[in-house]
Amino acid sequence: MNTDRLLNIYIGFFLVFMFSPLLLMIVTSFNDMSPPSVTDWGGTTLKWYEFFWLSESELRQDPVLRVLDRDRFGMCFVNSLQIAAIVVPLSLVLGLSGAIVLVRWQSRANGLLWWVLLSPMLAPGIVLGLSALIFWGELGVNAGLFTIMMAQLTFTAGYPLLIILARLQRLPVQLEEAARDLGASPLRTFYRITLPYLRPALVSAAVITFLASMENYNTTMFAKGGSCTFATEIGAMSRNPNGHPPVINAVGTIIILLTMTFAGLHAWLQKRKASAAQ
Amino acid sequence: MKRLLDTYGRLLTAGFALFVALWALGLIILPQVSMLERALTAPKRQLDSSIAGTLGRDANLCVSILRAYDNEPITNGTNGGLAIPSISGISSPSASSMTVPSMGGMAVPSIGTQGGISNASKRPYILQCDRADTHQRIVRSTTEVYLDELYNLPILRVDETQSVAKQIEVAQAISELAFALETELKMQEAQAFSYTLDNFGALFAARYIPMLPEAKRIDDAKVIKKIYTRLGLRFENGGEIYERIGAITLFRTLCYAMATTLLALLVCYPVAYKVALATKPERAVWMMLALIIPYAIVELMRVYAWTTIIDNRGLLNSMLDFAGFIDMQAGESIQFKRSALTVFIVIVYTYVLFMVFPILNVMSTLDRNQIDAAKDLGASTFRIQWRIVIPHSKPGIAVGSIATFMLAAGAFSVPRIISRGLQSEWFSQSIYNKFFESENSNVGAAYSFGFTLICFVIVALFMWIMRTRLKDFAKVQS
Repeated sequence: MNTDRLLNIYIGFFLVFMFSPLLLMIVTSFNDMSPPSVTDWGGTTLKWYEFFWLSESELRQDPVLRVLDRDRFGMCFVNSLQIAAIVVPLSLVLGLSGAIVLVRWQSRANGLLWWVLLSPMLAPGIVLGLSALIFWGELGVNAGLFTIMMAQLTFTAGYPLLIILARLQRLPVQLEEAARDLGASPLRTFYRITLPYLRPALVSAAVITFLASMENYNTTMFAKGGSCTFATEIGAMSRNPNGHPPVINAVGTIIILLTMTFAGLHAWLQKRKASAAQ
Repeated sequence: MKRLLDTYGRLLTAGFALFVALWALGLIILPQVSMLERALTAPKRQLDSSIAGTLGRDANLCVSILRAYDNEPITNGTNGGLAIPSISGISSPSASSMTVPSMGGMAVPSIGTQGGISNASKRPYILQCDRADTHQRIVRSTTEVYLDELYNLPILRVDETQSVAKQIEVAQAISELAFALETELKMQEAQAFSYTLDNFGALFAARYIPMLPEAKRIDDAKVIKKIYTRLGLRFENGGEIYERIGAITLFRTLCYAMATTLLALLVCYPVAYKVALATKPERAVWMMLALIIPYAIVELMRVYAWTTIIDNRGLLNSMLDFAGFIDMQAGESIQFKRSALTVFIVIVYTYVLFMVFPILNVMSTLDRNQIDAAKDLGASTFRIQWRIVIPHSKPGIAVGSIATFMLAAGAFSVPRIISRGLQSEWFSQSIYNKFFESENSNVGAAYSFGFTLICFVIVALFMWIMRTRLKDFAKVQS
């Protein structure tokens, strides 16, 4: 009983450690003070949120907001979405192929293939960005959105690979064999048996890959050349000599709230599904 | 292969094989090979042919500047060098200062002798003419080697005491010689075996650290410096201190990464145990949620969240002020940004959850009856952990440790945002600087390749010790 108590207190401390910086981030996003602070309260304000829709003339009047480039920020965000729109489907295709080959192809090269395909997930992110930069540079492709996509794809394909693989190993081979014996073509078997069985894995892999692509900083930073993404633009704001503008905290607050909403929704749905099954 | 073909037919199998091949070759292996190749070739600007080419271009430019200078009719000393700066912006700015007669003696003393006739006068300071010299040092790691000696060139230099016409003639000769040599050398270099390990050597290059005697005494007394000396990363030569900066950064980064991993393991193990085994499943769902939320939030945001805490006028300093340790009104504050410990703690914060989930996923597959049985048979808490829970969750511990170690070792965002350049680099920053600040991608590629190699060796060693296999990575995902 005593150890249980200790464990509970410990978990409490751990959660405080994990959540207090996030809480501070939310609080500072309403404070009229730049750089963001909780100790100096300059009055409650919403202007760090309003930054995204204020008119030009109002922006110019604010000493902190007027130096920020809103259009560039928007452009970088669109770049990120474009990258994710290419990277996520390609990652799924590569991950699916990799999983199928790794599970169904029994050979001596299998172990080597494991190492090759999983090595990007083990390698430091910066190395992946650099190798993509050099490789495509030698082929005559300048650093830009394309190199970012290639660099990200190298490791993002690993997430679908692992997730699909785990589910594929549980797929009874007899299902596919029965379909083939009953005269279904290989394509039909794949579309009617394998893919539907893998769908939950594909969905969660897509979500994880999307998040990984959007938030990736280390790899993108090295492959980006002159272009920018959401993450690199946020990272670049730390170079502001007067400390970063609280606009970042506003964006962070939105991200935190979105994440909490989706995670809560997911948990609730899971619970409902579980109780429906009973 | 037969099973693949049987189930999916030729078309699909070929498709899968093609995609896997594209991924493995086009995205993983070939980029690494090109990186290795870049790391093994000497930087282009250090090649003998590039040095010959630069010499040729310098001499050429010298000729044209001298010509322009020569053509300009110079009537008297008052506007002697006026024409020079306007013709070529490349020639040194000191040329313009010579337009003031009283300062004539500053750059070219000889102009003060009231000659007036251009041919007899000496040239002003022209950088390119000074550099147009066949006695040119070329890049060799060990000895001093010169271009003229190695390739049997006559020793030619543009002598400023000679007449301008003569100077032009010499410069022209130099440029012809140099360009001929460049073409020849380029042909040779294209055929020769040009790979070298010098770029990797740059990782261990020693740098002279200028230090006053008192500073040196303080520095010598530091424990960390003693460790560096022991490891051969720092040494004294003729009373001066030398440090192998690249290797020191690498060593520091790896040490911090290992410490991060160890700390994360200690912090996470009880958390994973609590959520996986010591909570009722209904409540565990909510605890999982509490762990997933910080895990899913954009990494950069979690780093930024710390800036409010560690700022000079941030939460920590205000708390210290409140407790009376420092006086912020008087401008006192602890500069947490300058402390490597802060970066370390934020890295732990950022990557700690990558340790929790693998352990948690494996632990939750353990049958709780085993624990109950052990308890009934009188095993202590420690014994239960040591004999049942830890052996069972070993794959999770291994995978979590590897993930955390690699993330911490390759951390780039945390030191960049937290330290803002106020403290010594992490190795990832060194690599970044080699590529994008000093524009030496060959050395940068060597740094990066060496770093990857060392990290993989450490991971492989760890996996061997823990008896884990790569396939555990798939098991841990659920």
